[in-house]
Amino acid sequence: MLTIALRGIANNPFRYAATALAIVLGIAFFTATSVMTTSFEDSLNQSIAEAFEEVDAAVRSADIIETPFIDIRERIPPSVADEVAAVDGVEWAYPFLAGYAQVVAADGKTVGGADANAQGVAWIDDPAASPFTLVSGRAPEAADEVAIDVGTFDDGGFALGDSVRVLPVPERQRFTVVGSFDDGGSFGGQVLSFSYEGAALVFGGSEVDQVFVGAAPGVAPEQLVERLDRQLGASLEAVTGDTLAEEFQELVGAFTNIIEIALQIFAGVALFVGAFVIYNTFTITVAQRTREMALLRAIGASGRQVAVSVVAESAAIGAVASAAGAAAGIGIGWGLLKLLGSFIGGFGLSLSIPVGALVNGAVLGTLITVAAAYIPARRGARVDPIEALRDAAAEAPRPARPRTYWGLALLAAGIAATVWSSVAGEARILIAGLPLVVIAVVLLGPVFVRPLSRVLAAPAVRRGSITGELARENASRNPKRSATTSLTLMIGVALVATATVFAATLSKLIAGDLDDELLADQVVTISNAVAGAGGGLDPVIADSIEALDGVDAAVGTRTAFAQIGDDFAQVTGADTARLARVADLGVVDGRVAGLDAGEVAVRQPAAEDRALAVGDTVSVRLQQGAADLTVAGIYDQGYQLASDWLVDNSMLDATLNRSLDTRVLVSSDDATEALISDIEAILASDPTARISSRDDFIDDQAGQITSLLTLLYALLGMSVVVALIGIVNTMSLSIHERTRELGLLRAVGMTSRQLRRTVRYEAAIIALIGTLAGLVLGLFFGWAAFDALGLGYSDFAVPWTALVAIGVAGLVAGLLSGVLPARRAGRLEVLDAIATQ
Amino acid sequence: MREPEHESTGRPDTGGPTEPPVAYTAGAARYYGSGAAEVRALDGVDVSFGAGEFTAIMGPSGSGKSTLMHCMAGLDTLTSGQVFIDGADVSAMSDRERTMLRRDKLGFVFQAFNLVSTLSARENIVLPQRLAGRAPDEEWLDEVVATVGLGHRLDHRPNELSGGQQQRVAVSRALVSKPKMVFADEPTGNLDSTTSDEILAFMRKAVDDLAQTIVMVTHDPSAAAYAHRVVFLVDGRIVNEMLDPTSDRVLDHMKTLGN
Repeated sequence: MLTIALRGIANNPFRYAATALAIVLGIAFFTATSVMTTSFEDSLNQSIAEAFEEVDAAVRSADIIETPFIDIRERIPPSVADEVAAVDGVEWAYPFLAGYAQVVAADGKTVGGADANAQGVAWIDDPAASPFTLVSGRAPEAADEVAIDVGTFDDGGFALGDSVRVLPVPERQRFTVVGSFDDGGSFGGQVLSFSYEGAALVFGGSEVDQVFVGAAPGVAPEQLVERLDRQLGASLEAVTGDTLAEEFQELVGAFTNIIEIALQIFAGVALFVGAFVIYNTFTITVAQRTREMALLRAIGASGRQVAVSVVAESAAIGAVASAAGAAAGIGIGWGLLKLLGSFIGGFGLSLSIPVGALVNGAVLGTLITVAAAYIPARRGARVDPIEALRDAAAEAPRPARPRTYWGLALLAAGIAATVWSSVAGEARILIAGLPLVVIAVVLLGPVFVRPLSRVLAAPAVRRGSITGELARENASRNPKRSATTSLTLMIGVALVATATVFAATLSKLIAGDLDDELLADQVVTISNAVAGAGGGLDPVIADSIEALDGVDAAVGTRTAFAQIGDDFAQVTGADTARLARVADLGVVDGRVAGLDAGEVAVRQPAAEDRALAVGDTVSVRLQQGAADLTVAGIYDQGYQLASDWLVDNSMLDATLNRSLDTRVLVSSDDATEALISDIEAILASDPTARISSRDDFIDDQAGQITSLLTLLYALLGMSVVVALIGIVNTMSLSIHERTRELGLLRAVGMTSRQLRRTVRYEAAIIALIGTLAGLVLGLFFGWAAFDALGLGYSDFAVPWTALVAIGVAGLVAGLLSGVLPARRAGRLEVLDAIATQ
Repeated sequence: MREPEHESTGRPDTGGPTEPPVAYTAGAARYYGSGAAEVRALDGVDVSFGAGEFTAIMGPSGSGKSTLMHCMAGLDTLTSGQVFIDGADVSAMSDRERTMLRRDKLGFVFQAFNLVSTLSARENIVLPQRLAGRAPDEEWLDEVVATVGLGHRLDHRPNELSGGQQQRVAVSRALVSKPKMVFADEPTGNLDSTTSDEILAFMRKAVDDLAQTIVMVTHDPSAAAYAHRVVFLVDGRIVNEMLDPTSDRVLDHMKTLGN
């Protein structure tokens, strides 16, 4: 029987081309994500290990603010370095401090674009301790000297001796370029290095992040850490250099793990879709080989043997395709790594091959293929030997009644559960409801194929097109087959539509919020990358804008990370005395304006969570220092501009070394062109700043969600591609099955062109059924998900343009997927077709 | 009925003194394969078919009778020689021209798989005209359908019709566009004798009443008996002709060919 299985593949290699391709693509995607993330993680870990190679121990504050990403550690006084140096067994001790810093090139712009990653560190002038090596010039010594990483140095066209501006230091303070260095690839992006005094100037304070320590000969790092811990105060802690590296590596690991899981979810969707393609292929081929199987049964093969031969066939295909997919995954992963490298820049990335993940991918692909072929194989086992003597395949049965009733019942139940969850506000019911709807759609698919084909072909049929009519009849001739084929496309389209609807709704929500909150007519912003690196605008900029004629108020807002109670929170800082002139926070209770350094205003939902009322005290801890603040007021809107917690700048200034504005909200009497160019003249001092009108700003903020969609579309694209391969496959197999009929059509005068058109129309009908079902499901899911998050209906947005575009894309994709099978049908030799038995 | 002109072939049959033939071949040859494996399915056939004539082509398996029909109908191409239908040289036509020829001037009846299973009987009958983008001649359609006796089953799909009914639909399809010629390839091969007789009688009626020209390939002497003339093929050559055949005469002659 095994021989028969293998010979079956050998005789019809193209029959399984699509199955193999679906598996190759899915597994390639699956393993490529592992290859990319593993390589990325290994490369970064390598760089981290190298960066901390010289460091035997580090001394740092024991107090941290836990954040979802990297923990924020309190800074320590620079004098700690001297204390550490005095400890027995310490060879050297250098303070380390880092923060946002960015150099401005001669053309007045930053190097590497608005989204470049940029930071500054204090130079450690000891080759035994520094991760950097000088390439040209010398190390920075005076406070106004800077050394630049060699990549930025070359890209920005800097020369030794240049006088440059360093952001965010005010313009009057210039720096002299004294050297360039190689950062060993451990930081990525732009790195500036200053003398210790210079760093204090740039970062606005002399407190340091940690002290790096080198052990004297003969002293083990663990020993050193023990001594340091014993001799230093309780507010400080010492760790070995290895521990420090491991902490970073864990962070990288957690990050890459999230990326890997996220990507593998999408790979999983593609594989799931692939499983349907395989199921369909085997269902069709088993049906086509009914006679052959019946013959085997008639000459004495057991049903079990017939099933085993089909399963063996699937296992052989699955194994070969999965192995090919895993191999292709290495190549694609390498390509993705290069792509990633070109985006983030500066890191030295090299390929590592995760053997375990490759083996997992190959096994997974084989298992999926076998599992998908199992039901068709069982069907093959039930073939009656008498079928061998009967005439060719009978018409496919119409969908059975019970299937329809079950489908309708589940659909009703699913919709009821969803509506109930929205009325009762119970997201848990939704989790039960949505799968019911999906199962119902799967069950009802074959029932809907005929009427949907009728509707979709109606425009062509009304024109009297015989090809349209034949395509319609062919599409609904085997409703189960067409439905399964459409279903594969439906999955991808439904996910795309869900995301599109959700993003549009969220975007509308943000735009609506901002429209309510924002009184200003102009907004100055910085890029997300600069804000993320802790950068921002010198507060002088807001003051200068407010001093302009025609400006009513220009108020900067800034953000600080904080720990409130046990939770991480973002705190917004502003000049609260003037904030009301540019933003309407919707005060509910107490006072939001004119807060003092000991007060905080809280947004209503956050206040309710913590049962806070005006007059209550809440403990807020920032990176440097903590304070018990009195709740002065509660506001109910303003989340977009003031987050959940609002303090006065005076509170931040009292605790933090430096806080910079991330936005400046400007209210003017009349936003004339002259006024805008006056503001732009002020902003010329900081190339990271950009001015937008109120409308543009709102569009920008609301649009940031939608820009994520592009990535999502790309990731879901693989599932859609696999689904289209499925359509090509079903069409090819159907054409093979109908060879004689096509021959007859050609014999009685159908032109090759008409035949090709019929095939393309049929593919388009199947694709459109999948696309439309996907759009309807996506709309429903988008609505349900949005509602389950308790965001309300009023903002529910239907992105009609995008949905129509998806529909048109489905039509075009369907027509395209019909091209290959159509060409094959068109090339059919009429005589051969008629002669086919 | 015309008088027999000759009992054997060797030169083109001009079809009669007054009318040119609807179709004829000149030195038609069709070889498959090459070298030692070469098979001469047709080996220089000259035959002609006059208007309103019902001709049966007979011969043992592998004699080339189907190949002859396929080549005449533009379904297969000759290795050498020529085929003329309605004055046009089929052997010089492109694939598209041959498709047009089949659609506009020829009708077909095959042994099996004669109908498109997704179309009703009526839709099958008018299919060639729909493909040509022409409106069927309703009066003629009614007449053909009435002659075939299918009236009440016209809206049924093929799988709801008996084998005989399906074949009657196929014959109607072949006739409804008033083709120059109808080619029938073992049209009764799958039918019982009663149904066969019905179909053949109908075909003969179409020739006699509607002046249709029909060429039928068959191996059944009783089917051949419905024709005006029988052409015998052996090894790709025409070996004999018989006018006004009866099944007994045909059977006797076949016995001599079989050896």
